[in-house]
Amino acid sequence: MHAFLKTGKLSGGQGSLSGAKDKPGQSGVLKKKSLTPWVEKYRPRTVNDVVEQNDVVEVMRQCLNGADLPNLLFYGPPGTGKTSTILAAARQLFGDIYKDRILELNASDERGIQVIREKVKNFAQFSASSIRPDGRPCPPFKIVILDEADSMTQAAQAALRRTMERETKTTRFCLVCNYVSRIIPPITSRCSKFRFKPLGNELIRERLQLICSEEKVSCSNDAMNCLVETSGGDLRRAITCLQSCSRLKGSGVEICAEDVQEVAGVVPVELVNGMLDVCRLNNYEMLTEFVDKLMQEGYCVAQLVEQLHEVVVFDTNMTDAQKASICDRLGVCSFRMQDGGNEYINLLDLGCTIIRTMKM
Amino acid sequence: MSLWVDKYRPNSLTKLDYHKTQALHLKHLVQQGDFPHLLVYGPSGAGKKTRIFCLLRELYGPGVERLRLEHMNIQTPSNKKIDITTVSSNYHLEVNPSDVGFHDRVVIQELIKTVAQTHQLDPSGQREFKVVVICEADCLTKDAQHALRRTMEKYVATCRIILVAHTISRVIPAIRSRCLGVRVGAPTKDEIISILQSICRKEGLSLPNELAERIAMQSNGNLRRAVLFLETCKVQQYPFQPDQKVAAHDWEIFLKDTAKMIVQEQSPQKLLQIRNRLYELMIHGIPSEFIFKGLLQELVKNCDMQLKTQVVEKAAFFEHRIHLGSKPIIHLEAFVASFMASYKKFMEATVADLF
Amino acid sequence: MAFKLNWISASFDKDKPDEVIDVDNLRMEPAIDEVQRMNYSCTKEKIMTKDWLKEYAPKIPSELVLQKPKLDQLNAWLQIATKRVGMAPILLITGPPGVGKSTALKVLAAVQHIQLTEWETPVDIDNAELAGSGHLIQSQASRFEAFLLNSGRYVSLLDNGKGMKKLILVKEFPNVFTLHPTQLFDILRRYHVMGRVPIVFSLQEQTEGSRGIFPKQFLEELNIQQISFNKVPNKSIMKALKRICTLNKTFSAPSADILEKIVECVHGDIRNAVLQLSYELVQDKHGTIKQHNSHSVRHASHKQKSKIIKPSTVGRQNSVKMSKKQSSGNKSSKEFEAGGKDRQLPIFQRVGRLLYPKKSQDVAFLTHNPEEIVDQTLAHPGRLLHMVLENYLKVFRDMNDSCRAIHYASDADTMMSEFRERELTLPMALSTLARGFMTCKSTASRKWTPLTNQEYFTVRQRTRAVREQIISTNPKYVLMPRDATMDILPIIYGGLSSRLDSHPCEDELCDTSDDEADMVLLAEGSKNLQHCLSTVIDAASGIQVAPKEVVTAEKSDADNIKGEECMTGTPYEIQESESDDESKISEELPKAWLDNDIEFINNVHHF
Repeated sequence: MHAFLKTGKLSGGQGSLSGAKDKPGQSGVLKKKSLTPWVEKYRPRTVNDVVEQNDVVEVMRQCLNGADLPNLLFYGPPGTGKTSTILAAARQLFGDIYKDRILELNASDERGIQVIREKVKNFAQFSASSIRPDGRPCPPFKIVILDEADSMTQAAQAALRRTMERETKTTRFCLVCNYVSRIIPPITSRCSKFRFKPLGNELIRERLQLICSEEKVSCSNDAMNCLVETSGGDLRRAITCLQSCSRLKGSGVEICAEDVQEVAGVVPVELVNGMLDVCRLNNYEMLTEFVDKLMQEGYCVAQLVEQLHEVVVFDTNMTDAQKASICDRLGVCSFRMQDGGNEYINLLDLGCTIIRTMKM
Repeated sequence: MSLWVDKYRPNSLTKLDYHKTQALHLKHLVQQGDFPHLLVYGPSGAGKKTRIFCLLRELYGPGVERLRLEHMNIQTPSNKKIDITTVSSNYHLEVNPSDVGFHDRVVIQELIKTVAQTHQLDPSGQREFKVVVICEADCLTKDAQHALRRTMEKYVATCRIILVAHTISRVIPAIRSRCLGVRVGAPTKDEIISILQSICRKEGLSLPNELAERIAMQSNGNLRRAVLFLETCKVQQYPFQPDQKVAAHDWEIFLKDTAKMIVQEQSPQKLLQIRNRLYELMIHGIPSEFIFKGLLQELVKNCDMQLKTQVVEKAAFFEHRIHLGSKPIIHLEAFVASFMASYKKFMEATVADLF
Repeated sequence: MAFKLNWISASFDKDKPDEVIDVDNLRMEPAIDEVQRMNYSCTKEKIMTKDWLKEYAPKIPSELVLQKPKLDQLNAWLQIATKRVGMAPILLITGPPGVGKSTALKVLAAVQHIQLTEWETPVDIDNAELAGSGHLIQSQASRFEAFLLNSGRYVSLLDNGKGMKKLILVKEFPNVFTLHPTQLFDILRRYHVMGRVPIVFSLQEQTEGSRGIFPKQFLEELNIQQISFNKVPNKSIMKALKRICTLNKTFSAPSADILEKIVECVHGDIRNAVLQLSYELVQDKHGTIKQHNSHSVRHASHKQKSKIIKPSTVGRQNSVKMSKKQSSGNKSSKEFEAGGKDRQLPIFQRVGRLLYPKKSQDVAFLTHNPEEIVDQTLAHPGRLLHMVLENYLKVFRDMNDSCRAIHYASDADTMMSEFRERELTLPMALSTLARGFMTCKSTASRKWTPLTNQEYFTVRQRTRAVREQIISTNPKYVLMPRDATMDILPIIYGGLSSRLDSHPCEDELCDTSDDEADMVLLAEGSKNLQHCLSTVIDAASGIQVAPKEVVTAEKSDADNIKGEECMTGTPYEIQESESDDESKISEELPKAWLDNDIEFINNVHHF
């Protein structure tokens, strides 16, 4: 039941580790089926179900047909199916025994050099047979999935390099990360790299509509658009958001766009544009009034800055010089707020900069 | 009998005065017997704590109202003992780890571990998890936030976490994505007025609408402050007069005066006096970012647009420095000094223009 | 590299058998060392043949300068401990450096015919580091344990007095134990059961319970007795110095004036006093080679205090000082500073240098190198920053200058707080600070203003007091201190001004009558409110307060008051000679900083 909580990366917890952890809640799941995270429920079962990522699907297919599996490095924005792909492949490769054949380590586990070495060593110790218990053939290796590999320290990665080489007989590694640039070159050179593209809006919409009909959730068209837009190509985020909305609203009530915005923590478009409009007035008092209102509403200013960036970049009226100067300040303010800077003052600063550049 | 703020705090989700749809949503959420980790955010005095309390009551019943104040002793790996104060009931525990500075990581981990490992003894306890409320989550160090992320996942079976924050800009995305965000905006002026009126009705007082309006204005969307103002007004003078004075908080006045002093004279000697005043404010627990904000709001009043942007820029710069450095007073003083310098130049230029 | 250096120092050791050359010193200041080596031959016989400390060390109990009751206590313990059979008793002696803890113990032990065995931490650290730290920890700890057990078991070959009673003296621990004190505790627990010979730990300072290596519970657990010595009173030092003067035949007795000044500037450190005395006397005698002597003597004295003073700077500082001395020829108490306890006074001097920078004829250059000034400052860098900050506004006259100066201070604070790259940023921060302040002042005002000590600590103390107040108001608000201080407290406890009664702040505003009226109103109102609430507050939200809370609150209150007493009202001037009060602070504050620092470092380890 609590599994609902596991948005984000933890939802990859089909692996042996989180599987064990889930047990106490199992009874709850039985009681209330509806509370399984939909991200889990609608994860692709087979490689063919994986959408958009043609290259990797092709490789996986070949591997399913008996080719050897290289060490893999999946990278790309979150929610594009990296973990899903490898899990689906594993399931197809190993069938029922796939839980014994994969070791999933994600960032939430302790991941010092020592821990990785030990766990991988223990896991890889026993060679895997090439026959399943039911007599069908399967590849004679195990798979170690390192989720969020880019959050590993350099030292840990360096240590991993040797482990990878040593265990190459029985084990294949699959590293999953968002930024390939944070993986040290010796590792990237040992893996076949696959970039996962952000999912297209249409695909996300399709998927969401499927879920809606399966779960009997009514979702207005606006809300659907909003979901797709806010997701930014991140299917997991879209699905989690949809589920949160449906839980908040209670069953049988139509989800509307405002709910989606609220749950996704998005600042309404009117406010984002309002910020620019108020700056065009070249009036400091109006600006402070606007900022005050924004603060009272409690919107996340960091989010606003992000959305503002989008708007500014695609604005057609501003010159490039103006855009550059505003973006510069957007960056500075966002950085300051990351460090804990006061939102009010930074937003004012941002506003003042925009006012100044508008006059240029 | 207690302060009106406490006395008239609603104690169930259905009795909340504003954001009613949100209250309904929260009720839906809890009715299914379980809820995800929550991240409740909004400006102060908007009713974050009130909502959380209502939520807990909905979940566990009136048992959550029996609160205990406890001191916990936690030992860091470096063998330093940390004392932390917690408020807890049988079902939940509230804590403010930002008290302990950069030891907050240890405190959070240890606390949640203890809570999560002690299962509910009460067999009639309806829920199989306890709730940990972490106040001022936005003041947690990055280190603590990362630790929290791991802890959240690890003890998810026995423990739910509710984070309370003034702003989520400082909360790392990893935590944001693991929590259901609940935004609690400040009540509108009309909502505040109606709440003030209803309190007065319950107290058997009559409140002139003009006064209510002015209190609401003065409170700036902070309901707690509004109710406190109302109570102060009552003590000062009853029956209420429509034109009765609503006194701002003393520290606000003190801050305003300080700003006036800065505008009056710009010299190192004055700066010294200002510093002492800033010290006074800090001693009384006014966070330095509020001092910055207050000063900024007052100081720009006498400037032209160009100077205003300059001042704002300086304020943002030095306010950021507070978070990087370890001694807020230096950066506050630097801001005041730089304002003084540029204001002096500005005034000299204006005077020169006159002749 | 390490080996090479060792080799060099070893070869020098052969040259000068009774003086260990500091390797750092050698590397950094070859020139000065050269001078010393040259002068060495001519001064060797005169000074180095006599170690004053050894020569004039007290031989009988009556010569000891420590307080009588404490000595009696120590004596009594020795008697009981050595007679006892069974569990090995342990004693802990604490006190500031140089009061004669070990000397007292040695003298008393000699009187009772007790043989002392002293633990020396092995110094093969260079090799051990190469071998890996894990090995080091193991070996040092186990070596310590072996020492404790063996020293009781085996009789020294040189010991002809059969059956002499034994005592182990531990003055320093292997570093392992400061990092992992539990290891030490385990060893001691075992020893307590197995060992027979009493152990005496002689440590610098152990304040009540928390600080220091032994926690209170542990002391109780093993029944460890603690005797803490205070600083030696000035009178006793004087007595001891006079005794030495009478014993000493080589030099004529110095004037009472000089003795007094020595006593004054050593702050109850008898060891230092003796060294000072020897320095003074030698100098008087060999007026002509004064300057050279001073180097060697300083070097000797600095050997004692090498932990505190950076070798390179001392040499330079002395040479500057000496040249000044020769020209002026008079000895004010200030002249003793460098050799004496330089903790508080120099920081005022340094701050003075930063704020009143001297410029040479060529205006573009500063007379004093800013980095050097910073190096010479022994206090925690944060303190220097605070001191400068506290005082610069009294010196600066121009707004623009002040603005630039404080900007530099802001930069420095930011850099200083970057602890991940501390080694890199700290020197940079200090350099920024020093150079910034020295170059900022455009108008040269030579008006002398007294410098004051930092107010920061008082502020911190009082902030804490306000926090306590919150807790006492309504326990529930503990969790939201921000809201409580901003909204609740002002209402319950009158106006800020009335809360600040004891600390008047200048209100020179004439156009605030409205606001003032506001404040009065508010104050009155809240007084009433307070009245009607006073009974309520405790019961405010029906929170039960665990009884423990009261205890802790009271305790910390008491602490606060104690702290505040120490902190308040001590304006200093550059030239002011020190009072007792001041020395108290100089002892207290650096330690507070040190503590912070240690925590800091520990914290860094967790990253």
